[in-house]
Parts: sequence; structure tokens; C-alpha cells
Amino acid sequence: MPGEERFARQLKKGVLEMLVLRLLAAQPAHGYALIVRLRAAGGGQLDLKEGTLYPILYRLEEEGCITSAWDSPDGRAGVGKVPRRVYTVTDVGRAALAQQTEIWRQFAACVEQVLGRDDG
Amino acid sequence: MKWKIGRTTLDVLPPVKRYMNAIERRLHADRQTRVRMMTELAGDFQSRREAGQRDEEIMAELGTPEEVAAQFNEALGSAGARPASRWRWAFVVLAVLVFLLPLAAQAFARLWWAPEAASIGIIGGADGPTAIFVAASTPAFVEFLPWLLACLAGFLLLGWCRRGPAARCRLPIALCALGLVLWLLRLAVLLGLLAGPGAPQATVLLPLWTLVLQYLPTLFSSGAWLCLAVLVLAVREHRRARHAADTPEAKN
Repeated sequence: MPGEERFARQLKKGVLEMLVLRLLAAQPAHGYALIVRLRAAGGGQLDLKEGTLYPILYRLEEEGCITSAWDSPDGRAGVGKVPRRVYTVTDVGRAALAQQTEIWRQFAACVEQVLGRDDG
Repeated sequence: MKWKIGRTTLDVLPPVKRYMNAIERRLHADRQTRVRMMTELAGDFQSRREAGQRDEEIMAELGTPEEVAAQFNEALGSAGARPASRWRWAFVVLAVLVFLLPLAAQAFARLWWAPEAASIGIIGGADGPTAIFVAASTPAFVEFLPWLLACLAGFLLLGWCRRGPAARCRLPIALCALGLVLWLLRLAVLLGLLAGPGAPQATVLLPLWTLVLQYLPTLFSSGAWLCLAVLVLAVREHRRARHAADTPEAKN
């Protein structure tokens, strides 16, 4: 159903930054590793493509929430070897994650409360 | 087949190279961001290969080049940006023609007539205000400079400017303004000469305004009209890009 898909996509869009920060806070990773971990954790709900993930990573980096470095010292690699950019969460990112998690919990509790009402 | 992206060289099959190039062509971002995106995409491609996926499966999973680029562009807030136009190459062709045609004409003239014939013709016709007009004429390169500036501005406007921030439009605007200033300077030099040593002859033979009217067609022959046209387009593009950057979608 197109309506359901759109609803799920918008929900995902709203929480992606928080989830990416959470995964990176647990362990630094490069882009594809994040995609795999999100896919494994989400059971199909959090499947993500590179075109969506990387701009989020660039935005988080611009905001100082994460830093990144090539996994080879100078970002150079020989033929057939591609350097991967590994992302690590910063203190600013951890503070943002704590704040976003708190907001999410309050928001989810509110939504649950409304959905659980009998007068519906 | 070798695929060079940034400072990295990767061994890829022709379909993968075509796929990656097609994505890169459709990205609306500056060169640095493009190279970074493509390097990371190449890294992911490699990771997927190492995970046992075949190239065809990877490309199918990532989506068509149009889809991948559209995702990047949308997420970067540059969905409103326009891809480089192929028409920019028309400006290159025009610049080459403008540069080569006078040279070809000169070579042709030298081939058929004695080298001194042309100069005799000019001297023979150079009496009164015409002599002043001839004296006010500048070297051929300067004469065609507005054409070349307009062509360069047009080329940048339809390609480089579309791939970056609105501020990039300032360069073609400056180039066109320079072309127009050059054309106006030539008019000013002509008027200066007529007001000075050539004034008596000029007023007897032709009124000043007639000479100015005679100069106006050079707006077209010198390419100043193209400077004007590209300037208008560049200003409009600058406004459009600034407006697009100010929209909430672009900021988010």
C-alpha cells in the first residue's frame, strides 16, 4: 500500500540520524557496515541505501557529531583496493544522541498513550 | 578496466565503470563532495563483492544510476539543482569559430593578395572621421574579446555553475560585465578622439550622433550582445539558485 509505505518511510527518516549515532556510539564503522547492521537490527524495517546513508553521515559530520578518517593512512590505495572512510562518534554526538533518545522516549510514550485510549 | 576515482584506481568490468560514471554524471554536488561520494560508493561496492555478491546483483540492489543519484541529490537538498547542459559545448564551438575565422580570413587574404594591399586599402579610405575611427580601433584580439568572454561565461553558466552554490554565478556575471565594459571603453575612446583632434573634421563631415549610431552595430559584431544576453541569464540563474538554497527543503 503506497500510504503505508510512505508512513513507514517518514517514520524511518525521522529516526535515522539517532539510529546511526547509536550504532556508531557502540562501534566505529564505515558506511556499508552501518547498512548491514541496520538491516540486521531492523528486520526489513530499517533497510537503507547508500544514497540515503551517506548524506546523513556528511550532515552529522558537518554538525560535529561524528568524525571520519580513511582506513588507510593517506586515503590512498593500490589497484583493486578501495579505502573505506570509518566514522566515529564525538562527544558532541554522544550528547546529541542522549538528547534525541530522551525526546524519542517521551514522544513514543505520548503516541502509545494516545493509541491506547479506549475513547479512540 | 581501470576506474580512477579521486586518487584511487580500481579494477572494474566495463559495465561497472559505465554504471559508476553514470551515477557521477548525475550528482549535483561540487567536485570534492562528488569524489568523496564516489569513493565511498566504490568502497561499498568492494565490501559487497567481498561479501560474495556478484556485480550484477550489487548494481540491481543499489538501483539504477538515476535512482542512486536522485537519492544522493534529494538527501543533499540539491534535488532542485539542474544537471549540466550539453548546450554549453555550443559556446566552445562558437569561441573556436570566433577565434579561427578571422585567422582563416587573414590567411586567405595573404594567399590571394599582396600583404601590403590590405593596408593600402585602409589608408586610402582613411580620411576625416574614418581615420579617427581606424585610429580608435583596437587590436583584433581585444576586438573579439567580448565574444570569447561571453563564450567562457556561457560555458561556465551551463555547467560548472549548476553543480555548485549560487555564488558560482558571480564569475560569469563578472566575465560578461568585463566584455561590456570593453565594448563601452572602445566607444569612449572613439568619442574622446572625436571630441579632441578630430572634432573639426568630424563635425564637418558627419555629426557626432551619426558616428555613435554607426558604432552601435559593433554591439553585434564584437559579441557585446552575447555578453549582455549571458549576463541576463547568469543573473537569473543566480537568483534562482539563491532562492532554491533558501527554501526549507534545501535547509533541511
